[in-house]
Amino acid sequence: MIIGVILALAVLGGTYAVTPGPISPTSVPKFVTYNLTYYPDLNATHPALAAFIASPTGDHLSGINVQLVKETGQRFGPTGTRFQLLQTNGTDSSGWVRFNQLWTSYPNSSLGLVYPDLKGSYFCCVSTAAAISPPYKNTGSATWHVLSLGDSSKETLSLVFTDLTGQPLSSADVLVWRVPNATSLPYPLEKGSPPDGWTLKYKIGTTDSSGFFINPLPYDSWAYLVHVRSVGLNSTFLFGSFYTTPSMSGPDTGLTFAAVLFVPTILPIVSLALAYDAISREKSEGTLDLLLSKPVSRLGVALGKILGVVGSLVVPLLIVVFGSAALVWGRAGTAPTGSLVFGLIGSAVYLALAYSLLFLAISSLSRSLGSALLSSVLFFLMFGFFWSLIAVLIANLAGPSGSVGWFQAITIMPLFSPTGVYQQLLSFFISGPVFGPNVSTEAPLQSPLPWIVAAATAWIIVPLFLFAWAMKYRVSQS
Amino acid sequence: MKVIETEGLTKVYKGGQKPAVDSLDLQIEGGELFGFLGPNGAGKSTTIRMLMTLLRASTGRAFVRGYDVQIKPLEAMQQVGFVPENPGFYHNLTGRQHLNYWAELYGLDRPALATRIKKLLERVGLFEARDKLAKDYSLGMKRRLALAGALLPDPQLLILDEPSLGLDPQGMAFVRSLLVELHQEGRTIFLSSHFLGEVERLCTKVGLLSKGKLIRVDTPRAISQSVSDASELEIETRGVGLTIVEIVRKIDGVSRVELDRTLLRISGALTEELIAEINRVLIVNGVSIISSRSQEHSLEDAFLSLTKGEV
Repeated sequence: MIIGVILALAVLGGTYAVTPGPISPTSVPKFVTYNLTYYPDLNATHPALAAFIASPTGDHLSGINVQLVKETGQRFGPTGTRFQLLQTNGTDSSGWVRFNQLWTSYPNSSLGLVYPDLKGSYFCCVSTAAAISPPYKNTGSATWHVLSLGDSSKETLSLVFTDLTGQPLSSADVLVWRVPNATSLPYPLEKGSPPDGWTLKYKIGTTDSSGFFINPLPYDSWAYLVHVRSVGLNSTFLFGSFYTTPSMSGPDTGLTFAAVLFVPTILPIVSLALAYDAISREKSEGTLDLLLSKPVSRLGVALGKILGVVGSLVVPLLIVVFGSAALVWGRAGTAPTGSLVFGLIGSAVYLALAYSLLFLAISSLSRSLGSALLSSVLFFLMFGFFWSLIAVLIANLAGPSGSVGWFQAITIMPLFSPTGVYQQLLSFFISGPVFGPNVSTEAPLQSPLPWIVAAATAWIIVPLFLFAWAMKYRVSQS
Repeated sequence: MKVIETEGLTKVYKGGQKPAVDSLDLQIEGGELFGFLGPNGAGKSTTIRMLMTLLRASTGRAFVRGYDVQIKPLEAMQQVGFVPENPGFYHNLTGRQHLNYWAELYGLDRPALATRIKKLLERVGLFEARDKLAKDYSLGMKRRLALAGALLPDPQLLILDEPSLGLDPQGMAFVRSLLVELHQEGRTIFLSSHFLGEVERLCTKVGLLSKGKLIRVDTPRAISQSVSDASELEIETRGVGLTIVEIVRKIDGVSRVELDRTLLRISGALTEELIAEINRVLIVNGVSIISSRSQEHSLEDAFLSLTKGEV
C-alpha cells in the first residue's frame, strides 16, 4: 500500500516535472543550410564543397557568410572547436556558395563549412588526403531537411537537388509516397518505389531554378519515400519514420513521458507484487485448503483473484492518470489531448490486465512461493527490459539492418511481449517527435492493426486460460 | 442414510509406483462418529482430500451427502464442515474476521451472522481473543478457530483431519468434549487421528486403513476383540504346581501359560466361555483362587496386529 502510494506520487511528480510551462512559439531558425559535396570535374579527382542557404519559409538568402575551415587538431575559437579558418565567402543571389580547387589549395586536409550566423554550426567534412578514382557517373543527389516552421508537431519537407557536379537541377519533379507500413519499406531504399511505380499521381511539385523545393503542406509523423527526378537523374530517400514519438512541447509532454517511461515500468512491478503470491502464498500457508473446501467454485475463486489484483491496479491507475492530466493542465495552461488521456488509460488497463493474468497464471502453476516469485521476476525482466534487445538480435538474424526481413522481425517481435503490445497500442495515441528531456526513447515500429489486436487478445486469453485451467485441474488437484 | 460413500476410490500420485488409496469402498451412516485410522502414509489424508474436492481421484467415485464430489462439488461442500490437518490462516485477519470471511464463502445470511459468530466463538472458547490477529493465536486456538469455521454452516457432517494433532492435554480434552457434544447433537463426524485411545473412547465405528486399502470397519470393541489371541488372563492363587500348568495349557484356545510364583498368566483366545472353562478346570483340580483379572485388548493392540506393526 505504502509502496503503491509512493510510486503513484513518483509518477505524478515525474509527469509534472517533465511538463513544460505554457506554450511559447517554437523558435524558428534564421535560415536553413543545405550542404553538399560535389565533383566539379567528373574526370578529375577533386571533391568540392558547396552550400545552399534559404529562409525557413523558402526564400533564397544572399550575402550569408560561410567559412571554409580545416580541422587542425588544435583548439580554435571560444567554442573549443579545432578548426583553422581558410576562406569566407557569401552566398550569391541564388542562395549558393561554392568552394572549389580544394585539392590543389589545401592538400592532405580535412575540410568543412562553418556558419558563423548559426552559432558556428559546422558541416563536416571532405578529405583531400587521397585521390578518388574517376570517372564518376553523373548521378542526382538530393540534400534534404525536415522543417518545423514554428510548430514542432508539424513537419514539412524541403530539399535541394543537384547533379554530381553540383549543378542545381531546376524543374525536377518531386514525388512522395506514404509507405503503408514498415514491412512495405523497400530495400535498398534508393531503389524503392510505390507498387505502381513513380507515376505522376505522386508528384507534389518541382524544384526551382536553384534546385530548391519546399513543401507547402506539413506531413504527419509517418514514413514517406521521396523521389526527385530530372532528365536522366533521380534520387530517392526516406523522409520521416515509423518511430512515433511524443511531442515535447505543450500539455501532452508529461503524459506522454509517463505513458512511455513510467507506466510500462511501474505497472508490471506492481502487478507482480500483487499477483505472484495470490495463489502460491495461499498454497504454502495452507489457507487454500480451507478456501477451496468451501462451497465456492474454483473458477469463481480465480475470478475473485483477477478482480482483486486488477482492481487494485486500475483504481490507483485511473487516479494517477486523471491526477496527472489535471497537473499537466495546471502547469501547461491548456488541457492535454483527450485521445491521449483515454488512449493512455486504455493501453495501461490492457497492460495491467495482461501482466496480472500472466503473474496469476505463474502463481497458480508454481510449486512454491519462491518459484512463483523467481519465475515472475524472470518474466518481468525479459518482457519489460530485455525484449527490445532480443528483438534487435532476432531482427539481425532475419536480415541486414534496414532489409525487409529486418523490418518484419523488428515489427513483429514487440507483439510477443505484453509491454511491446502496450507500446504498439499507445503509438496510436501519441504523435510528434520522439525525444524527451535528457532521455531519448522510441516507440517501436508500428505493426499492422489486426496483428496488434490479435497479439493483445492473445496476451489476455492465453494467461487467462492457463490460470483458469490450473485453478480447475492443477491447484490442489494433483 | 449414507453420509459418506466411496466406490473403488483410488488415487495414484504422479510418479507414484503404488496407489496411495487403493479401491476404497467406504460407507458411513448418518449419526456415526467414525474414526479413520491407519499408519503414516496409509492414505487417510489423501482420502479426506478427495472427499473435500482438494484432490482429484484417479478412478472411482466419492459421494458426500449423496452428491458426487467431482460432479456436484458445490452441493457436496455446502453442508460439510472441514478442518484440514494443517489449517492455514491469513496473517492480517483476526479470528472474527476469518469467520466473517468464511461465512461469506458459505453465503450465510448477514442479519443472523454476527450472533452466530459470537456463539461459535464462545463455544470454542475464543470469544475473548476474537479481535486478536490469527497469527498471534496458539496452535490450540488456531485449531479451535478452524473448528468454529467448520461449524459456521451448522453442518450435519464434520470431516476432521487429525483434529488433536499438536495439542497439549488440555487442548485435546477440549476438542474431545466438543466432539462428543457435536455428536450428541446428531451430527456425523468423520475424523482421522493418530490418537488411538481418543478414537477408542470417542468413536462409534472405526475404519482401519493400511497401504491404501481399507482392511477393517467395525466398532472399536469388535475390532479389539477380533484380535483376542493376544489377550491375557491373570489368576492369583494360593499356590499351584507345574502339573496344573500343563493341564491348563492343554485346554483348547489357550496358547501360553506362565507361572510366576503364585500368579498364573494365561494367553489365548480368551472368550467368556474359555475363561469359564479355565476357572472350572482350576477349581476341579483343587486350586484355590484369590483373584482373577482378564486384561482387555486395546484398539492399539488390534491396530498393531492388523497393520503388522507398519509405521
